[in-house]
Amino acid sequence: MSMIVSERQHWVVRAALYVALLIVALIALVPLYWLFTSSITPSGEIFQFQWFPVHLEFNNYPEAWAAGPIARLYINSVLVTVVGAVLQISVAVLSSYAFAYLRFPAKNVVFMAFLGAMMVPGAVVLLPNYLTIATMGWVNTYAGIILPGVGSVFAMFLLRQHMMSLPAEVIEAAKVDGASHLRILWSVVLPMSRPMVVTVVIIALVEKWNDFIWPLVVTFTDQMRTLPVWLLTLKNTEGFTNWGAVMAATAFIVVPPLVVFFFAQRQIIAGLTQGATKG
Amino acid sequence: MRVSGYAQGEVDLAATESTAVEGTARPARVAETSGANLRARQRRREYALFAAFVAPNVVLLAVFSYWPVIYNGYLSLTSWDLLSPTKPFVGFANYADMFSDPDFIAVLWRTLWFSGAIVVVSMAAGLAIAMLLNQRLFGRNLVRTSAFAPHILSGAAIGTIWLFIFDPSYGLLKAVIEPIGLTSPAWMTDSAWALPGLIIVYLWKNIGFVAVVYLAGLQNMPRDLYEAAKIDGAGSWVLFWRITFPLLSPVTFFVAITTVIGTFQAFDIIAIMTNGGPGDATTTLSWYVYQQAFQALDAGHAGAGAIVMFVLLLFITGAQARIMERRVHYR
Amino acid sequence: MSRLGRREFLAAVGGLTGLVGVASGCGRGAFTQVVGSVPRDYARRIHVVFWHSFADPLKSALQELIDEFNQSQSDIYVEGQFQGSYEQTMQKVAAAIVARQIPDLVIFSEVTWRKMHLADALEPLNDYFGDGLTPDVYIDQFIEEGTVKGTIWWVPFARSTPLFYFNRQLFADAGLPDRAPKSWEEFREWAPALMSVKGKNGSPKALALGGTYASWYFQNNIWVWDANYSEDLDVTIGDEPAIEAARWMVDFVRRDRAAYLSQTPDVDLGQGVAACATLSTGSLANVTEQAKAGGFEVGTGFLLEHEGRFGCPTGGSGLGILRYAPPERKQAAFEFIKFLGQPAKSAQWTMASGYLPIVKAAQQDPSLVKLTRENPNFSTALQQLPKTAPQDLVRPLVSNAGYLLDVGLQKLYSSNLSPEFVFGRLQKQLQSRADLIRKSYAAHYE
Repeated sequence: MSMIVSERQHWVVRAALYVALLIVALIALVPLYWLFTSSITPSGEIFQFQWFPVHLEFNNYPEAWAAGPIARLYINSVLVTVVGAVLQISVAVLSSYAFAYLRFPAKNVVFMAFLGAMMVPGAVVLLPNYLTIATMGWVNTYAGIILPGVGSVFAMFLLRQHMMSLPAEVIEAAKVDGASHLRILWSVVLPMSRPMVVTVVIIALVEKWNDFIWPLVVTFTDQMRTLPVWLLTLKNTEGFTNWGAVMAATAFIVVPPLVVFFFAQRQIIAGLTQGATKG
Repeated sequence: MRVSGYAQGEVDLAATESTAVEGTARPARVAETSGANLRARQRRREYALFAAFVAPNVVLLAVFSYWPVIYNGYLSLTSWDLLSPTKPFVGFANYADMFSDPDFIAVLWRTLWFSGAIVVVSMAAGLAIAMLLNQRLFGRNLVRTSAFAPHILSGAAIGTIWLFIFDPSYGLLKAVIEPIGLTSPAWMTDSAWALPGLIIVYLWKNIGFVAVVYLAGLQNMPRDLYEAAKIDGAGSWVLFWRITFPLLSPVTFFVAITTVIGTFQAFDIIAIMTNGGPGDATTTLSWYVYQQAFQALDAGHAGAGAIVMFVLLLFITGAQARIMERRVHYR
Repeated sequence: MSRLGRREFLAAVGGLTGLVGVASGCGRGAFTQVVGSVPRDYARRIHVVFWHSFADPLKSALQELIDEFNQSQSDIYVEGQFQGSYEQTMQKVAAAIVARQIPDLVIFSEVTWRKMHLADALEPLNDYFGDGLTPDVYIDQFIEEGTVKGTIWWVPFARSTPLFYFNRQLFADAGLPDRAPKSWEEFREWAPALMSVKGKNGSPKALALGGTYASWYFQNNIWVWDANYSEDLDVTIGDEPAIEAARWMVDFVRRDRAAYLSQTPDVDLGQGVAACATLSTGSLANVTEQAKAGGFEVGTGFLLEHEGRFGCPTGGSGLGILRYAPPERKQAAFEFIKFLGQPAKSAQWTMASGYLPIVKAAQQDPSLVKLTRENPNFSTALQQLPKTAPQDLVRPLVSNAGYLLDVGLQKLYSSNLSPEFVFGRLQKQLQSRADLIRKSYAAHYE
């Protein structure tokens, strides 16, 4: 394939490219399409494959809503997600500012040590963290769900990359004016980093919304659980699985991140790619 | 790497900063007579500030990421079933047991194969799609968005959807390939197809992400280099291998690292779709650790598995970083 | 400045060490009750936290029983908390004990209760029985299963056995008699006829084999081939009869192509993808629903015989009280057990779930009798009950044995591995694990 867009591509080539484009879009979207159509299919008919349901069953949604304390689950998910993301990014912003603008002996070694935390296997932190949270008396609480996820390496990494690419003159000017580091961070660096901050906030929001292993471990009552946890328990039964309701419940979980993504896609993509290309 | 430093002789700055940051009123310090002493004090203040800024993240990561590793290291030397009040010490018996168990060795190879396949195919297909999206085609932004969308879905949702898609009796895949005359294998209940099936699901989730990242890399390509090469008569293929790909190496490195770590950690989709089965056909290292910890209630083997995984990841990432230093070109 | 920096650093380290020390359980504290919520009306009562493994629709049926109990007296409030599957509930109990924040009453499966018993985490219940409830109201075999050396540790609740379910419509279409096959051999003869019927989802397979708890269902095959998973803690799955049993099933899967591994055998049965499946009696209500939606009637029969031998294990779950709870909560928890042990309540639970009635007198409960008459499938499990036996001990007793057995059988159903190889490997793995608990076993059982 030619790397440089040529205006004079043969029409066959262009047609082939369009077909390829279509295939990519279809592969990405058809599963999602199927999720939404099966969520409005009557349970009994989900098992006969159809491209579009012959009978529409919107009742799956109210049924799924009634199957659990959904309103409460939504509130829990939103609260845990938003508070967790805000805390995580605040912590990440502070640390990345420090790495970008402050001196410290063997700073690189410290940074490497941070990166190592990304390699800790997810499954094994569950029990020790459970013990820690239990000791603090925070099992089955919002604090217990949120706290272990507040520390972050990836967000800090991306923010640091970005901050190091900001023009030094502006920072110097602020220093000359006598601003403290906190002031510089708040009034100068953050506004200039807004795209990247938005990116990491959104990444954090999506990641925390989808998190289900830890909330599963640390919550006992349905009142405190989050949406993905509840979806898991819906299917974990020796008895009946109402697949229509399960698909509707899955849709409940999937829609908010999709909406957020739709409105913020440019930011997310811009932030991620900058982190990748600037090493 | 650009690091900002203090301008010289800024006593006021130091004094202001101390009250602003620490929040305690301090008597204004008398200017030091020696410039070097002054700089030393400022440097130490900066170190302290660094520590303060970094402290929250350090503490959180230490408690919730590193402490578990240490604790698991300790548990890996015991044979504790989570229920007894005592934790009998067994030394390295768990490790010896694991490494002499052909099933565990199979888990290791399976994990490497799983991870490797996803990394390689993600990068190749992602790059191909990125090049496609780099063409001036109508609707490409929409396709770019669509391709990225799977990445933000929850693992639970993705697993649920694809379980249905793969179902040999009711699934979408069957409906699609049957008209062509192929029969759908029993993906998730066939030892030979379960792991490839899982790989397909993770690829579906990952390729869009890779494509988007590569696309940004492509769009940052320097035109002048290309013009010069074409004037010299270079063909498309040469252009790609000698110029494009090397210039994309930072992206490749970033993608490789994040994908390797991601696939080693991959667990939520396995939990929904196969529970490590059928048999142990989809038991990767992360599933093994989970199963030992939470189903077998064998904290010793779980801890040992966790340490093996951690060390393996460190090693792989380190090796990738070493390669990066030699091969990655930054502009 | 640097002094402050150092102070901060030391504070962080100190706090971290403290956390580390506490988290590793250096401080031996007392056990407290795990968190829950109590409605204001019940605030003055003794609060019992009850962890169970029943998701909807069984959860609502259980909640009904809990609500009735709460309303029927004024001293105790039972709060039911759903924790996932039997295994997940067990994991949470283990974590809860480590963290010293525990529930009071827990549902344990026939596998998980023995682990808890070996770890001395269960409360012995003999002294709690008395006027309100005596052990002999329960079906003998169930209460005996929960008794070790004369002490009762585990009280039945949601007990089940596997049952052979079949699609009566498909049988009729295939020209077969309207009953379950008597033996595996007869089933094999009937399979081709079944598989040639044209259904709405193509031609069905004869038998859907569930992957989850595969070894529980296979206990039947093992026993009728005159083999055992183990005799006490001596693992015998590597013996020839056991391998024979596996070989037969493997042929049924690979050569006859009549049986196959399924993640959802109940759905496959309901959709006509499989003509038969062995499922728990606990799935009866569910399968009946699905059959109705699929337009056919489901029939049930005893598990299949071989060479005149019959074998059927029990399963399901029961109740245990944690030893570490304070006395008044343990007593209160037992009051709830008494409530559930009333014949009418046992019948109520049976009708809602399909689990076996655990109380002898419940079988005469008028509503249950009526339901049994209307739906004969309900009585099949009851009639099979006297012929059942508790499973071979290795599966419930040895750590991870059930999982390893399930994995081995799944491998046999889904790949080309030979029974000799798989069972031979299992023999070694299970025996080495069984040997690890011999001392504990001797101390508790002998």
